[in-house]
This record gives sequence, structure tokens and C-alpha cells, in this order.
Amino acid sequence: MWDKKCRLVTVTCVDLIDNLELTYSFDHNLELVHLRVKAEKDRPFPSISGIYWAAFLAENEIQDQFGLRFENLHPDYQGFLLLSRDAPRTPMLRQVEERGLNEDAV
Amino acid sequence: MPSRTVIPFGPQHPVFPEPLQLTLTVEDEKVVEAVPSLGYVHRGLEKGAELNDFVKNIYLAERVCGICSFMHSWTYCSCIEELLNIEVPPRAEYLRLIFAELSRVHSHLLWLGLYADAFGLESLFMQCWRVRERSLDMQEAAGGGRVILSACTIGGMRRNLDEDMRRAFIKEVAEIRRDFERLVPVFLNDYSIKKRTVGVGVLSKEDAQSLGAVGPTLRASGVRSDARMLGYGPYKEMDFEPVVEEDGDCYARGVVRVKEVLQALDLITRALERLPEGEIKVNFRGRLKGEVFKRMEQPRGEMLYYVRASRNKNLDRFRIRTPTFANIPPLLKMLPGCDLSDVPVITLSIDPCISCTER
Repeated sequence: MWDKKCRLVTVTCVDLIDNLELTYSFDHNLELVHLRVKAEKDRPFPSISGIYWAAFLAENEIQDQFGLRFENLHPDYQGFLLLSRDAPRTPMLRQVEERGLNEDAV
Repeated sequence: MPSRTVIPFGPQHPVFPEPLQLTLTVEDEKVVEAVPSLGYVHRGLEKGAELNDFVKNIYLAERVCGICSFMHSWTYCSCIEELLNIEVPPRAEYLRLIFAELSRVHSHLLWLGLYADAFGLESLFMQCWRVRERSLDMQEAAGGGRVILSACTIGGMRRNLDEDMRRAFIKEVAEIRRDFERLVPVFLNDYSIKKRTVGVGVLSKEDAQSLGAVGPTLRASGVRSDARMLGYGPYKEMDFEPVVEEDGDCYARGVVRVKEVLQALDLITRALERLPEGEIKVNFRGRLKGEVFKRMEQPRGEMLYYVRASRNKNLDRFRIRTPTFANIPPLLKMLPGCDLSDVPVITLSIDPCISCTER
């Protein structure tokens, strides 16, 4: 992607309950190209901020919201980019009770 | 070896309209490093959207930003329309374009005013905001609100333009143009503006691309990229050409926005003249299922929406990548090497919107 001069648009994380799904979106001459990978929740995941430095914001945000640790992330906010010290941790993860609520809604 | 000092710049600073903190390391008066701190206005909107029903989310999406709120509701509605396979009537699409370009006019005029204020031109700031007021009056007359319009809805629009108002709008746009054209030479030729902006905060074409800059920040560095070129909505019928400047400095970013105001006024006039007759809203039914990525061009740059749904009423994931979120890394690239006194101008030149960034 870097060699093709693609512009990093963003990294999106979705909680699939068993694991996390990361989608890296790139722009190449106005066309969106997506790369999708699965990440395990409790294992650190390699950061792309060494190649696309701009990814550090999105990766730090995922670290805040989903609790996924990134390896070699620079700068690393340790999960406090958006959240303050006294805020609940990993707010975007699906909680068990919320899953129950969703099943009712269907 | 000069000694280094660390200066916290913001979150409360006279030039910043919103709370952003930059921790600046300076050597004498030169900035060596800048590290941002965010989180002062984080509201957890993405989480809130998962708990709400998807129709209510239109109003939530509108409140992501207090300036480009219409664009947010348009992007959100078009995501849902794509998931539900709704075809929006052409009149509604044209009305959306008119409102979207109106918010571009008022957003850029707001920014040009703040920009003038950043280097101390108080009267220019007042002049810009005076012109902007007219565009807000238009929004109020047509949409019912000055900034948050709630005019866009799934399947079309909630507000229509009658024939009298359409004619009055064409006239009003011409007057806004006349007023604004009197300010244009100041932004383009004034000695003191050039002194403060030419060659300041340069972002090269390569850096702009590799750091993922968007919108006027990207186009001022010579990259021909604008999400409106994708031809969503009626843009495909408008022969749209993006405004591009080559120099990549603060001056070029100002020029891009000045030209975009004029371009947006042109687009509004053309859309008003061609406004098709017919319905403005279709009813919808169906189950939300699937996922969609959607990009649109906001005043500050390209915005990406990701909506994923597998249930009836609620969304599984709602992600917004706003333009300022993408423009912060380029900003951190522009700052090292500049004078401390230029930090406000450079920071404002990306048009930072922190409530967008943090959501």
C-alpha cells in the first residue's frame, strides 16, 4: 500500500464478541481499498504506525475504546487518548448484558 | 546548545475556538516537537449511536459538529438509504446539495474570520462574519434553524423550497457573492497577511499524501483530490472541478478556501436554477442488513462513515472518521521548525474542529 502511494483513510474496529475485526481503509486515486484482519482480544497486535505514522491516532483510539494493545505504537497514549483516567475502560466492547438487550430488539 | 522549554499550548487559548492541547517543545523561539492531547470534549457518540434506534441517529449524527451538521446528516442518511435500497427523489438530492454548499459557505467564512483574527485583523474578522450572517439567514429561512437544521431525513428531505423562496435565494446568493468579492483582494494581496502566511507551515505534496491529509489542507499541497469528484448526489451533473494550489503553505490553504466559497456560491446558484420538480421524500421499509462505507466532502475535508447493521433497529457499529482527525498528523509535521508566534496561524490553517475529532 505504501509503495503504491495509497493514502491511509482510517482504521475501523468492530467487536465480533469472540475477536475484533480491523478494517484498514486506503484511498488510491479516489478509490477505497480495504484490508480486513481479525485480531484476538487479549494478544497485542502489530501497529502500522511505523509505516503510516498517521495511523497512530486511529490505533490509539482503538486502544482506548476496545482495549486492544498495539505493539510498537508511537506515540502511545496507553489507552488515555480520549478517555480520562476516571472514565470506564473499553467502552465500545460489547457487554454481556447488552448482548441480551440486542437479542430482545430483533 | 540552546536550552529546551516545554510549553503547554491550549486547551484554553485565545485563538482556539475549541479545546485542543499541544505540548510544544521549544528551543529559544523555534518549535522542535509538538504532541497533541485530546479528550476534552469526547462524548461517546459512536457508542450512543449503537444504543439508539437508527432513525434517531440522524439527530445524533447532526450533533457531531456544530458547523457542518448538515453534511453529517446527509452522509448518515445516504448510508442508511444504501442499506435499505432507497432511491431518493432528484429534487431532494438537489436540495441537499444546496444546503450542503450553504454550510460550506458559512463554514469557510467562519474560518476566514477566525484566520484573520489569528493574525490580528479584527475588522476583517467582522467583515467575514457579517457576510456569513446572510448565509445563516438563508439556512434559517429554508431549514428552520441557523446551524442545526434537521432538514435531512432517510428517504429525502423534510423541508422544501417554494418558488418565491427559490427566486429570493438566487438573488441573495448573488448579493453574498458581491459582498464577499470585496473581501477577496484582501485575502489574496494584503501585505500583512502575506507576511504572516507565505512560506509558513509548508506541507509538501508527498507528506500531505503519506500523512493522510484531507480537504483544503491536501489540495493546497497540490493534490487533486476531493470527495465531491466521486460524483455522489447531483455533483455528477455539476461538472465539478476541485480547487488546487501548489505551495502547501498557510497562504495556499487560505486561497483554496477563498476560492471554494466562490465555487460553492456558483454551485448553489446552478442547483437553484436547475432544481427539478417533484416529490422530496419517499417512504421506506425493510430490514437493515449489511455494511457500508461512505465518503463525502465536508468543508474541512473528506469524511468517512462506516455503518454496519445486522439487527432490525439498532446499528452494530457506527464509525465516523472526521476530517480534522485526519489532519492532525499533517499539523504535527508542519509545526516543527516554525516560530512560536506562528503556531496559532498554522494550527488554525487546518481548520481544527475538535468536537468532530473526538465525537
